[in-house]
Amino acid sequence: MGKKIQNYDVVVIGGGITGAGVARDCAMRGLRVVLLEAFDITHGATGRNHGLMHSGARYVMSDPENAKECIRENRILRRIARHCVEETDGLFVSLPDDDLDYQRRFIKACLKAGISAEELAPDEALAIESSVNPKLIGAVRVPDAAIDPFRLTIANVLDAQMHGATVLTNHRVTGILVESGTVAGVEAESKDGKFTFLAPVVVNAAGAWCQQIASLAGVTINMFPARGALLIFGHRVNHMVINRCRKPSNGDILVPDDIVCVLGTTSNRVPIEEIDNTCVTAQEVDLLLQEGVKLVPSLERTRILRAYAGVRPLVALGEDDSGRNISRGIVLFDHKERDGLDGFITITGGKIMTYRLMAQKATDLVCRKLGVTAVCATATRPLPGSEPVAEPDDDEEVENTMSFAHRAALGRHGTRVEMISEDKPEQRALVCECEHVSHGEVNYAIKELKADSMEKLRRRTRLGMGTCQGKMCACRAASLFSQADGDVERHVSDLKMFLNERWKGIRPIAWGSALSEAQLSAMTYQSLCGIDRINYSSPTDSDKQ
Amino acid sequence: MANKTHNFFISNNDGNFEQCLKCSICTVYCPVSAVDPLFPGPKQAGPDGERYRLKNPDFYDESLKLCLNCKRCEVACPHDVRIGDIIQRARLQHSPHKPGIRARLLASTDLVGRWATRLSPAINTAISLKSSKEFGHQMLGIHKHYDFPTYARQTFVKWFEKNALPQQGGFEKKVVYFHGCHVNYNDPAPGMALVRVMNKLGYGVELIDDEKCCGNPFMANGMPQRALQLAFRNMNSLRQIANKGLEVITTSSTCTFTIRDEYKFVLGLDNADIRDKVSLATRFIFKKLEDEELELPPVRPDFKIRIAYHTACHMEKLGWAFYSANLLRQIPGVELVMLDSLCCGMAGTYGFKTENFERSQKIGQPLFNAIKEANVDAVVTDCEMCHSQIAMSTGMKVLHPIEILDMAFS
Amino acid sequence: MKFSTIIIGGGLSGLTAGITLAEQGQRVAVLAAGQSRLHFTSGSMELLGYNAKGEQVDCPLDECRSLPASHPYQKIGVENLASYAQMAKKLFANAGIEVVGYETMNHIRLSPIGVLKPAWLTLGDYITANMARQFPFQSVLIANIAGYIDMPTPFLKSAFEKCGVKCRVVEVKTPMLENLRRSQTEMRATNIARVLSEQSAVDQLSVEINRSVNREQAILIPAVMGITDNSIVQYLRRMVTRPLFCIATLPPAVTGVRLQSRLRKYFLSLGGTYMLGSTVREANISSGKILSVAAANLPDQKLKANNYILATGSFMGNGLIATQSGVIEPIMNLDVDAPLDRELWTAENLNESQPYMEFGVKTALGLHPSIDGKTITNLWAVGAVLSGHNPIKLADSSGVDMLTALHAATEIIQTEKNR
Repeated sequence: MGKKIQNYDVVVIGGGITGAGVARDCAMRGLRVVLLEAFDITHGATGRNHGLMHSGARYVMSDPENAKECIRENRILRRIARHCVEETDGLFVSLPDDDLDYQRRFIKACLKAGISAEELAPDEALAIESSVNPKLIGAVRVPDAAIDPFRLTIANVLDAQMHGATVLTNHRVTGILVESGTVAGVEAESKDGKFTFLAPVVVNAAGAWCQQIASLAGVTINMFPARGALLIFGHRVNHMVINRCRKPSNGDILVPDDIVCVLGTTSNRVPIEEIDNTCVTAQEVDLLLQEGVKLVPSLERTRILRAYAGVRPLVALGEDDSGRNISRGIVLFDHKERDGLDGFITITGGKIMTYRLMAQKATDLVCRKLGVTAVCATATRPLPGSEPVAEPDDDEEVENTMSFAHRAALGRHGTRVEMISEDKPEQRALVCECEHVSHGEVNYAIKELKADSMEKLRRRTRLGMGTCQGKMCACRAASLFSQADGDVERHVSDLKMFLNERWKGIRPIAWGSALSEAQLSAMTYQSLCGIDRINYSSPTDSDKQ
Repeated sequence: MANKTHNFFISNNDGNFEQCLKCSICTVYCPVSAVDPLFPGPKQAGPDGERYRLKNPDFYDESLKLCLNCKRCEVACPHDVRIGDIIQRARLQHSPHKPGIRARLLASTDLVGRWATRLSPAINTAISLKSSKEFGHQMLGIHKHYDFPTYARQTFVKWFEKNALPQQGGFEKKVVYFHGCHVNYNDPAPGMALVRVMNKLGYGVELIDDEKCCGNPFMANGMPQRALQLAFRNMNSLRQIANKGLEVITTSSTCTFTIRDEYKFVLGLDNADIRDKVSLATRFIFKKLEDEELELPPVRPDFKIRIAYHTACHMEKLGWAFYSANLLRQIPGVELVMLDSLCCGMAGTYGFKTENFERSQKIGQPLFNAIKEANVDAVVTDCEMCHSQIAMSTGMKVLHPIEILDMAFS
Repeated sequence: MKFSTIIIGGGLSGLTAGITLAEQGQRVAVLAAGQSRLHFTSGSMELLGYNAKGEQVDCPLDECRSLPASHPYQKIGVENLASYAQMAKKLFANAGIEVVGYETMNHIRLSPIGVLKPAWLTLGDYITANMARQFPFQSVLIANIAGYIDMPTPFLKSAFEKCGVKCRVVEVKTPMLENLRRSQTEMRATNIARVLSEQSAVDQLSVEINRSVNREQAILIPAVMGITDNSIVQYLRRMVTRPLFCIATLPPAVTGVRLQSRLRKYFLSLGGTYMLGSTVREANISSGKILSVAAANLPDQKLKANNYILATGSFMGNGLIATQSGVIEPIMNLDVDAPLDRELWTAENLNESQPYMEFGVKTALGLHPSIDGKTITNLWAVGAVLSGHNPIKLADSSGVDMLTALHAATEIIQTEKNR
């Protein structure tokens, strides 16, 4: 980053899935785009949800329009983001406390919205998904799936970059430049200093932080952020998405995600000042477990790896600040029309499922403002990693010669796994044993995915996300970083921060094996290694919150 | 009879592997990864791999076949993770390869044994012939350096019926003997010793009408359904015996371990009612002595022997080496050297296989060295397969603890 | 089965007690659920490394006097610590374990990531510094094994340089070690140690090390040698052209396995019974005394003794179990020092003092635990299962393990004499 002032057609603020999608769409339409993210991509709600690929069924009763959008996008994502999606299908399960009449209405609503919904007898449901509570009284099969938000966002970022976009993490937007009623660009700062990005259009895709960003431009948006807490279990208990067939409530959805499963979620309105607080309370954990066990009884004896919370970026329509008129659908503000500020766009609301559509709507508006006529192609072009593969037969043969770690990486990087070398023994050696992340994959993440800190490495590879939560691998990875750039102090501080970040998620569920594991980890890193005695004066990594 | 739909793996997925703290202690004690880097080690093959296999069975890796099922990882694990069982189940559940002729031959100890004993002189000559060893090595993958156990001229059961059965009615106390395939077909000596010793101690010995192979070789060779059939039949027999209020004793640590633990944790069967009815003879005797229900008969005055006790892997897992060793220590004239508990590398039929032979010998080397250094008259072990391996690899005389008792009392 | 003393737990604490009692001719059984925490240790023992304020302690014995009354050292009497520390050192010598260090003056050990920590005793293999953080060499060569990733050499190099010691890092390869690299995961310290248990492998290594060394005064290698004793390390020392020392690695720790195995062997040689894989699940207790215990793998076998020692460790040893709603001692449901409210167990910052680290079995009088306030008179709790101290913040875990065990053993010997 040499130049302090740079020119673009459009600045996108926010490195969540929405921002990444907008950057990709803009870049594909030939615009010069820069994406600015204060921390890392997927730092906000994108990296803090249950990874459900909605069929729309979950909202079909409350918001059929939204549901229709979902099923359309669902079909698109299965094509363009193959490697981020696992086609698990979903079950909506009625338990003895639930109302079968609700199930009947639910099926009707699904079919009306174009979502296939097959009613199953309890024993049929148990036969295809054995983890579900055997006391169920009814079940409906819907085309839900699991989607990995990290992979999806990274693939969008990669594709944006491949189309010429600049993506800058650890760049916090500090000001929005306005000249005579029109936006002229933004000011941002990073550890390398202050920068100005000039552009005629600025897209605010900052999720829960939209209100803050808008205020920099003197525009008022009333966010009504809702906090949702979730639990990650140590392995896959279920193979299908399991929902409770009732009005969405606490602890009523269990989504398989790679080799773990995620129980969601609670929903609590939080004041805007608290959106950075992602700690989960013991009460939230107990509530989730109490409800989750009803849905899938074996959760009671399944180890919990961590608890986390995300903040849904819900927004009030218009200037309503009462919270009565809140949208759960896509919200696109052209602030010229709304507030008389040209060149400023806010895209928010919605959900991961509909990110592409959100990006398309936002980019269409950007193009209108810039007088560009290029059309959106994001629905048809596969994302990097999801390109079609020639013959399934060949595919199988290739996989068979792959090492275990390579096969694990195939799930994470799709076709780009070819870029991970396994030729030399040092590339094959596993760094993270729980998640099977090889040294070669770490190198790939550093080089190709711009991972320059432990947290970034984790989001790009799953390193440290497994059973031991970084106990075996964190020190190995920090050492590899140090070998690469020689900055020992930075990487030791980063290691310490990473372990503390892991601890945040372990704390609320620190009992049983999780507490024993944490103690072993503490005995390793603190008692044996003495990392708690290291205090370098100024941690330089701006990943720190 | 085995229920075709019995789902031996799902019924047993109790999430035990989640107790793993990733401490890697198990890796320290794996005899295979110590000599072969291609085995991913118990942590990777067990709990770490299991998480992936639960997502997608394609993550099953054929290198798991290198596991000996020695369970030393489980003994080392401070958190009671059944690592060996996880690996064993994964093999039975996911291995894409159908067992071949060799696997069937090695596993079918009962069937092969029945025919072989009838033809034993011819078979034993054939087994020892260089040409047939070469045939076995080339065609069947049974290593030519291996002395495949020879077959006895007369099965143990035949011997028992002819020579021992008539006297057994004369005892007030009775005990049932599960002899196992090896005693019956290959080496009846420990069985004969057992009958004499138990008679000396005042117990009449009965055999089981319908004794079947315990099933362990079928589990090890990828034939779970067959193992299940055998397990059902044995459990049936054992239940009937238990109902009569009789106890079952054995001389094979592996048969005992299989019935007690593998039926439950690998095959997923409920054996709670018979589990504690099956015990090793040494443990049975030790406990009767301890409870003062028995007294040792006089030992012949000239009896003097220096022996080294080898703890078989499954004895280590049972935690029962204590009983055999301490029973032997009570015999006047016995000088006992306790060898460090190490795997001999044989692991049932594992060491027979051509591709495993070298690995098997490497695994056993530290034990063989220790035996050579121990300077003893004989090695004593409760496992018939350790017996074969140690005898072949060290040239030492190998005996069963009950044979020592038999020698002392006669 | 009847013993004088049954010890539940086979780690440093349990074996220390077991050896001490067996040396006095007692019939002792150690029941161990699995292998112990020694497998994660550094090769050093700590008596007291830091005081309550977090300051480095030079003279641990002196500083122990100012520990709070809840600390296990106070419970066994600080006036006894000097003699127990001497006994501990003698125990190592008897077991054939070579250690250096004094209870009157700490020294500095080098942690795997290059932090300098105070220690009481260190195995002779390792490089140490004095309390002024001076190493005995001005320049060192770190010769890591190529492919071994559990020793972060950049961190260590930086640590040496901060102490004014010149440091160069090389990676050495030998054919026998390269073979091990075919494994993606099993290039662990203990597996390397198994390769390096053969002289031929060490010969190859020494050639490579000698080829790499320039003007450095000493050679440092990761502690990946000598799983049963240190003779192979001594052999390598003779083969290389400079003084050679080890650096502690991340777990599994070869010298920890060695300590465990030497202590166990010594215990067995004294006639002790060591049952591995025997998890004690229950105890038969009547009117304040244990009558017998039973292990999971020895059903219907009553294990009886006059005296019992509980050396089961903390949470990671399953000596304590935390549930969603409380902390329990799982074998006898002994009274524990731990609040019910889960939110009080942990602190937000990982590096702060974590309350759960101080949880443990409550002992009112000396080391005797209680059930519902009623003391169990023939039971002693020793080591990490005890409450009242934070082993991380005070750096006192091996000291507590050994000295409380020695205290219990001493009391038991006295009790038996009076019998």
